[in-house]
Amino acid sequence: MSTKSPTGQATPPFWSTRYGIATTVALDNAAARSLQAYGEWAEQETTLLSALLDEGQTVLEFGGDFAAHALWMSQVVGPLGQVHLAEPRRIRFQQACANVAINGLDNVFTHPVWLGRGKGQASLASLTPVGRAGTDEKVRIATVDSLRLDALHLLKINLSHALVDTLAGAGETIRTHRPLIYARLTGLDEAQSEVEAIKALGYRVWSHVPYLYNADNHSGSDVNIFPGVVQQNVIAAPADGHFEFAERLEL
Amino acid sequence: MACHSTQGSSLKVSSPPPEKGHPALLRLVLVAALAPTLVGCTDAPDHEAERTRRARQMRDVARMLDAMESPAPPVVASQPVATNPRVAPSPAAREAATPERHVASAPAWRWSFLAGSGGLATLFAVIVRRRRRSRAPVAEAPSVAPFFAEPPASPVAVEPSARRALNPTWVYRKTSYETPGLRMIPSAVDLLVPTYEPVSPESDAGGTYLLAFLADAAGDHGPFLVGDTRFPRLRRADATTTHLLAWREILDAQLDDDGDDGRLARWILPSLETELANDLPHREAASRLAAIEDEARARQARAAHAEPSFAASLVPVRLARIARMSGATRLFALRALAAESAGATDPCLLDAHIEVLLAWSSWSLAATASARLDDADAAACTLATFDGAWSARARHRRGDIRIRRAALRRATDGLDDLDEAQRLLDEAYERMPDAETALLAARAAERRARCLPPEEAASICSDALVHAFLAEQHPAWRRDAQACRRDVQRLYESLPHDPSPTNDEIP
Repeated sequence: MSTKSPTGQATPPFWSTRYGIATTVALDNAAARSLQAYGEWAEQETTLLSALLDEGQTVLEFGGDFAAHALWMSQVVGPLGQVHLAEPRRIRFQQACANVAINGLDNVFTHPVWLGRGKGQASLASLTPVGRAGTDEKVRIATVDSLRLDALHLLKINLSHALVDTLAGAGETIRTHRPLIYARLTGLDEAQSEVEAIKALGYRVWSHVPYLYNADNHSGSDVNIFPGVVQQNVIAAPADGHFEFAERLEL
Repeated sequence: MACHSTQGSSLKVSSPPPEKGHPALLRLVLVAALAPTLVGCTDAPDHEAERTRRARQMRDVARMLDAMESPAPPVVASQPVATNPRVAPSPAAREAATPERHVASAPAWRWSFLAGSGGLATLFAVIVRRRRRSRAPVAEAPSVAPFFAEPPASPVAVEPSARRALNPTWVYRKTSYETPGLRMIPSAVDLLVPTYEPVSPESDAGGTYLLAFLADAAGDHGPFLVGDTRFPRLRRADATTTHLLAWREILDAQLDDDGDDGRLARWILPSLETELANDLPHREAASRLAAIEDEARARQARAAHAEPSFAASLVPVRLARIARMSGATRLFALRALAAESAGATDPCLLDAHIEVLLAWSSWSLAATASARLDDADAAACTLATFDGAWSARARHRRGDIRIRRAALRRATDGLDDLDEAQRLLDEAYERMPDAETALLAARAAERRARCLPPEEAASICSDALVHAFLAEQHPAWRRDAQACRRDVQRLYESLPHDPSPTNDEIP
């Protein structure tokens, strides 16, 4: 069964994914294609982060990915924990909200903002390259500090071109809560400055390079639509803590 | 590949030239011929003495000719002509070269004429003889070239002499200088170490026949039953699938028994089936493990009375299933399993709960792992309140937990935990000396040594080695114990040593 979106594209209404029911609007995105084909998205990220999270903790995720990861993080932190989801793009924000709502995740809080170094408004194209022509939009900018979180154990940044500005607007929160930071690096040109920005906060940084295809995927599919594709991610922990990640490459 | 003949150029290069000895020979003959001539030119003080001297000279010449006609050794023949040692002049020749003896007399002329004629005749005879010899075929000088020649691509007729050279016959003879044969002394440390019997047939575990059958089928490769006698744990060691299948056949025959054999068979079988499933491909293993759990539950439902240890017997199966899960799915399954066994009062279930928490901590990182270890330590403290073997088991568990906690910290930050682990494991070993505890104590000591300054680390290394040797005595732990011993030895060798170490520091 499928329905037609206003744009005329036929998409299935819901997918049964590993951590709940989900759907997306457009399929021009790797996360959406993965959810459709495998019933999961970036599962190797999940494997690492679920080893770090515990019940009652607070997570802030910037870049919703259709709430694909909010679905499992919500269950990991449990009713005493909180998951804050910031998604600046209007339709994707609404889609994430829909997925949160239909799964009954009442410990997930959504924020339609770009997490930057100050407050205001800007066009999305000025902040990050937009995928298609005509998809630019005005987005609201806020800082992490302005969210006034009571606790923060993990700051997860999924959007490219966002890491340095997000950290710049999160100084107070990071100093107070010393969360773990997990981020996707933007690319060759920005990677060094992004890692330096994390280290400047007194953090140690390790590389994490997860494959997008998981052979043991939820749908049991043997077809690899992401052959050899990896994400260039980093995980960072306060240098004054006890966190050791001996098996990973420290940057 | 080019075909090489045994008559190839390499052979020619290494063979000596057939005319090589002629220049030297001619020189010698000329010297011999001129010597009497020169002597004849000298004064003869006494005819009798002159005759004697001449006879001696002729005898010397004859000897020299005999020596030259005999075949020269290969080494000398291969030397270049220019490097041949010059023949030393005889005393007579030296005398002839003396300038004072140039004045000649009439008898001396006659003698010199006769001597010169004799010398020329001798020279002529030698040259004729040499020419005859040079016409005769020259024997090939021995060469090592055939041993380095590449084998021919096609069969080539090899002369019998070449075949003999390629296949020498070696004759070995005993001498009084040969190295005596090694005499192996098995298990020299047996005198110091008690032999471990993981589960003896006379123990309170019952199951006399079953244990005997299983031990018989296991041999030295495994599988083995280790730990508590009533609730032994399966350790695969070097057992193959065939060995495991042999055990399963024995256990299957005992499953419906109402006695101790049946109880033991039902306890061991899920662990054994799990090991067998581990040999299957990933997806097959997952479905097989689910079937094992279902079969065990069905058996339990058919049993006349509930066995409190049943849930604990399923823990290895469920942990194996969880190990195959990914992402947060594993975390949720671990939470569910831990919740089921939480609050257990039976020591067997309590120990299984600790096992679940330790597995959970091993799949966690940082504070999350530390929190699971705290939970496990609390459960181990409860287990320590039970008597007998469970008390020792609790100390073993707590020592293990401390080692794991130390691993979560930076090297020196974990030293306190390692010290405490060593103390707990020493206590556990005193109460129940088994190879598993000895191995864990060895690991604790090895990690402590890594955190300590070199002078302290050396003595800790000796403790670690002693425990590793103890653990090696049990075949179930031999491989791990040997790996531990190697680690300790490497660590010890990496320490900066004092030039004159004491005996205590040498492990």
